[in-house]
Amino acid sequence: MMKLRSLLPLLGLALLLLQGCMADEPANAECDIEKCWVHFDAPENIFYHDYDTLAGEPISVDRPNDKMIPTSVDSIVFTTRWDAQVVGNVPLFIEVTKGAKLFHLVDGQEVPFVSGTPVDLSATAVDEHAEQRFIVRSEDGKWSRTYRISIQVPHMPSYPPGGFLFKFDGYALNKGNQYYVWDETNPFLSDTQWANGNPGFRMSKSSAKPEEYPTVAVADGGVDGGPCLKLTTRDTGGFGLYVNMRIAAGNHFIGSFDVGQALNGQTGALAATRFGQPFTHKPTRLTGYYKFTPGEVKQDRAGKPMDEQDICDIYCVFYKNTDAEGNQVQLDGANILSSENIVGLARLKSEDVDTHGDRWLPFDLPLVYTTEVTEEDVKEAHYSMTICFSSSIDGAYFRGAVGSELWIDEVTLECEY
Amino acid sequence: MKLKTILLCAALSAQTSIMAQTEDRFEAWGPTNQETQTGWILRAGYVLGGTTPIPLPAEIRRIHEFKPLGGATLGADFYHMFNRRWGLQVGWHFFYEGFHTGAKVKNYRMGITKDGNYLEGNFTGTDETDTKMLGATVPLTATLRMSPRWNVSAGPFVSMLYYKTFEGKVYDGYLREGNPTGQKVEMTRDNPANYDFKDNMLNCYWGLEVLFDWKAMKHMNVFGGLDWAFSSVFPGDFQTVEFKMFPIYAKVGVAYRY
Repeated sequence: MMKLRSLLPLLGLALLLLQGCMADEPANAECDIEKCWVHFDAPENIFYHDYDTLAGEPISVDRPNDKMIPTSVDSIVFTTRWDAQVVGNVPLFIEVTKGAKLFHLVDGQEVPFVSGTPVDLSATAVDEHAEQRFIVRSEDGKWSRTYRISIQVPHMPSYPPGGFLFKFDGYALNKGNQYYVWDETNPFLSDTQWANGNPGFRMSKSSAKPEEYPTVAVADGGVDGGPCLKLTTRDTGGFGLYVNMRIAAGNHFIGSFDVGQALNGQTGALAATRFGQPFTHKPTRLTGYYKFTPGEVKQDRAGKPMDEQDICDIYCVFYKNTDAEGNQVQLDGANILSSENIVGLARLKSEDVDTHGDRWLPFDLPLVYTTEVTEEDVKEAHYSMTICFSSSIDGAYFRGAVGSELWIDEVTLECEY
Repeated sequence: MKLKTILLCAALSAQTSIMAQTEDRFEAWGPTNQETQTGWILRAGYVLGGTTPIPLPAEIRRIHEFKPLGGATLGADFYHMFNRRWGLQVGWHFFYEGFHTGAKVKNYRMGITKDGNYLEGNFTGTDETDTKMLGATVPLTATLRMSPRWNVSAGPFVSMLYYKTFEGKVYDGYLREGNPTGQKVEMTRDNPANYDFKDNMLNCYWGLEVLFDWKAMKHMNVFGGLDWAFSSVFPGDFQTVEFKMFPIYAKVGVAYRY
């Protein structure tokens, strides 16, 4: 048996050879702006919150002041107070992917940019077409991304008689012509962002046509014969199973959708829906029109049939967007209806939902305040507001009936001021 | 190439050490049937190896786990000797082999297709794969009595698979969708993305087999060798795994000769 042992090193050698073949580490191919912030000596004159000097989204609830630029973003915007005056050059700080090189586009020339260099962003504050462009080139030299950086000064807040009307008329297909996206057409709230889970659905089911997504526009389906929203709980088909997300409820809400988190399990999916935007009015009532038809079989996350009917969800939440230490608070799917920061809530009761779905029905939901708010705080943007529609009430937990359909149109948010 | 050199060196050293011995003892190998110069060898052994890209691409940074999931081979060889030293051998070796690998990858090009849907991009993170294959290998080898104790046979083989799996998960990282500038999709350890490519695997592959036999007893050999596939287990148009994946398996065992 001695000779057998002499054979074994041969086998070992073969395996070692595989390890020995390991090549040098390739240079980084990524080229993102990861963090971006501006410096003002008196930020309180420019921004509602100190954390607004930092662009992007909080990395997690535990690190509220550690913000990252989402990788889907190529336009970095600092939103100021409506009455902010931005003059002169502002020190601009930019962190890019390790190894990547950053350039400032000046008169068509790429000039290497040192983070902290003052940049004139004042023009971007008054002219929405003005921009400062930056180019990030990857360490391996093969990839690049171009970013726009700007300051956005919102319009002076004013409350239109009758409330803010959302007709969902401003829709188009996304860049890749895969799914619908919406632009707010309400002139009083032009910087309001409506978001939904369509970008996540695309990851799972790239073969879907725009009409087969969970959130779609119906051009002439509205209560007034115009466009409206149709939210449908869909089977995620393709890869939903790989990540144990069998269904996707149709949703539409004010806030943003972080598609980077969307496939990251239950925790990620809840974190992906970032609800609300700072809102300088005090909402009192949410009204609108809906039609709802439940899908046939409600299923749980494992795909097993559940012995209950699926139901839709409509709500409006008004919440305090800072914590006791002044840190940013952005509610997401995990706490949008349970957070202690919520001060006012309007929600359609499940038992009040008409499930025939054959005609448009009005809904009228007063906001119930559990904490009183002062006009001064509201006007200083200490609160954020979201409106959310979902075709399956437990959609965030992947429980719902495929085929549940919620139509929405002519939504009005009435406010006290 | 390196491996071939090693094998050759091993063969040569065995050769020289035996030159001193008497050549008569070659007869002790057989063949069983002196008239037809043919014989049988029954083999049972242990299989160890994996399915791997060769050479390892730079995107694979570190293999931190390599664990055989059991492996066995059972088979028979039939040989015909043309003269005292040289012959031709054909075999039928059933095998079962499995392995588990965990690798750190960087900017690893991957894609998934299912039911007409696709998701592709560059993954950075941890990839774990389990592969199991049950099949039969048919080698056709030239066999050489190197010495009274040593025999080597080498030649091409074809393997057919009756049962196969190629499944795994990616986690602790992220996918850049489409290319390195695309949307980052996070995948944590708690929520891996699972994949299963068994339906994409081919049912057969071919390669080169080298087998050393050492005569331990009158009818008993100890053997060791390598099956090195030169064709990928995935078809050329399979985009998901961008590299050709070659099964490379070593085997050791005992053989009964008669």
